[in-house]
Amino acid sequence: MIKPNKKQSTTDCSRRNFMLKSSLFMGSGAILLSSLKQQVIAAPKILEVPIWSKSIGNPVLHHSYGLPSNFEHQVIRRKSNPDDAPVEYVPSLDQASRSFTPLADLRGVITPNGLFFERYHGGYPNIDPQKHKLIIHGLVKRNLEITVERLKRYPSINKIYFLECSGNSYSNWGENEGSSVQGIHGLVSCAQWTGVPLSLLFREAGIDLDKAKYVIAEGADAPSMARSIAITRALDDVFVAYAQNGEALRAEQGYPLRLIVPGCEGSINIKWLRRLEVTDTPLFSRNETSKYTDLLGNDMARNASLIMEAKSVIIAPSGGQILPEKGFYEIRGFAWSGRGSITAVDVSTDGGKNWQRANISSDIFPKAITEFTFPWQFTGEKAILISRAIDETGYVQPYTQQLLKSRGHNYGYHNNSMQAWEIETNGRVQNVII
Amino acid sequence: MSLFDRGTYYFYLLLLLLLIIGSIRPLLANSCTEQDYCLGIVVSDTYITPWDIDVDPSGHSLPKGSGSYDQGLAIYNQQCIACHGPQGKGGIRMGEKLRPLPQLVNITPLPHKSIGRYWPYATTLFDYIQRAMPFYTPKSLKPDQIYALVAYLLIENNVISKDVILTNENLAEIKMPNRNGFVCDIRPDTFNLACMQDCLTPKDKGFDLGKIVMTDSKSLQADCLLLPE
Repeated sequence: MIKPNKKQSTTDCSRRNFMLKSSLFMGSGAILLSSLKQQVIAAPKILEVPIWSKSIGNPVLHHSYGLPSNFEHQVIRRKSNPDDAPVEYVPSLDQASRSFTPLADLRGVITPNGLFFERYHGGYPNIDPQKHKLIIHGLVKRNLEITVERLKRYPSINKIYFLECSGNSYSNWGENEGSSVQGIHGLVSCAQWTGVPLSLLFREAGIDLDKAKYVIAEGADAPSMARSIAITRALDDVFVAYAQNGEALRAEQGYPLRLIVPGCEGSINIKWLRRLEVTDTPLFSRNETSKYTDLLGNDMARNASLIMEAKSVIIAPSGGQILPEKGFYEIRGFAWSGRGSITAVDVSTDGGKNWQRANISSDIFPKAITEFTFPWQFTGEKAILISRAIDETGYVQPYTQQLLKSRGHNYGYHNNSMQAWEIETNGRVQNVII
Repeated sequence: MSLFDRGTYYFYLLLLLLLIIGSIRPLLANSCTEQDYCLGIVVSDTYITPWDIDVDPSGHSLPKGSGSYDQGLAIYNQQCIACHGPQGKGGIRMGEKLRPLPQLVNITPLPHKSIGRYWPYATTLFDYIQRAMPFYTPKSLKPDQIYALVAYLLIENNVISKDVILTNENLAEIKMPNRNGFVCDIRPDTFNLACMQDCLTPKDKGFDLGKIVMTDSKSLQADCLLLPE
């Protein structure tokens, strides 16, 4: 647990105005420091007409590919800060590392492509789509080579799915060492993906359904990331995607082709997909044996624990923020489940003693992020905010201590436990263990 | 009366034939009677070979080659030592608080996931080195070099004896110490009810932390990775 910052707040109004101005300058990532008395900021005597109302604006194509307002420059992906993470949590090499989505600044269920979390095992390649191909072979009647241009001509689907790294929220495994929702839980994002179902492509290749047990998916990146997927899952809802939120996949997300394995851990959604081999045996690749397996307390390990179980997290207010004053706040958060749709989210403001049902403030798609809200008054009293997701299987999101009991301390991947944020009397929001 | 003389007639006939052949040539080259959409190009196994690099536990797709401990040591000290350290005991740190680069042999107490302690199949080592290592120049090693490195690492991990020459014939025969250390995923492993009022939390006496749910031989989850029987 981190120690509260003893930085003093101020009740001085001129200081307050200064902080407001500087926070506007710094953009939405900045936080207002102020007293907790609810008060109206001393207003100027009469409204000013700002400079942008008295001068002509920028022409079309000022940016031929549009950018966020420059006042939003703090809303960016970030790496783990070694000073704010468990010992040895931050990888040594940036090409085998990850960056986190700024969850607290997101609205609705779609993660903008430029803010989608990153995770690579050997850097991301810059692939020329003219030279890229998808090979389908193995237990099929005919090996197929499909160009990117031709893949886009097959009948296509559009689906909204979350992706979550199985190591997401690892810093909360037993010790709550992270501080912000971005740094702790930011390895989850959600997008609308466009592509072609594997079942269609395998039918084209003439898959041998009597012998096929797995498909080995492999990337064209430096380490040629490879994973085995059970054929039943592959033929269910897995697809080859070429677009994300209306445009081509970003290079960080697998341009020009990636696999989408809905509801399953990020690493099996192979990026820069180049090859699908239908087999009767798993590959047992390094990234499905040495890594991405779950070592239990009895020294055995689970393999292919792919499903990301139901989870939710409050993104506002969240760790590192400071509530500027007493008054009304809309508690807001995300919930998702790899087993299907979110059916309800509950919120507690007293550390888990009493719960109330939250509003679902977005559409609900299976295996996608669902947004929830909950009206709340900050009275200046200490409060502990927790959210709890329930999915269509009836599964209720657990406490960390329950997962530790069930799985032992060696685990660490697939931490879907509840996040508690403590609101101090001074409005400061902290990550706490319940 | 004719608009064309004979020569011109044959010229246009030939041109027409060429146009017809040209327009159906892609279809002739790629028979589509079995593909609904006719967008995939049928290719041979040989054509795929340069990309077909996976080596599963059967060892069937291992390339021909061999390597010894001494050869592996020399390659290791040239290609691997910078990150993985002397004898794989490495863990080079790029910064005081950063995670050390992976060690390849057991030097710390349990739990650890090093090769000799955790990896279930020796073929995985060949597969991974072949596809992903060395980190900055992947796919640059020849099969003999990879066999030598695998031999070196298995010997440093006390899995095989120092005189073993590793080849495509014997690699898949090696039984790794942790071969039987993996079970299928049996989650969900917590079973909460959504209590709404006056609920206990883990801080309260009497809170039900649930039970240890680690293995269950009856369960055979569909995603599980299992070798064919």
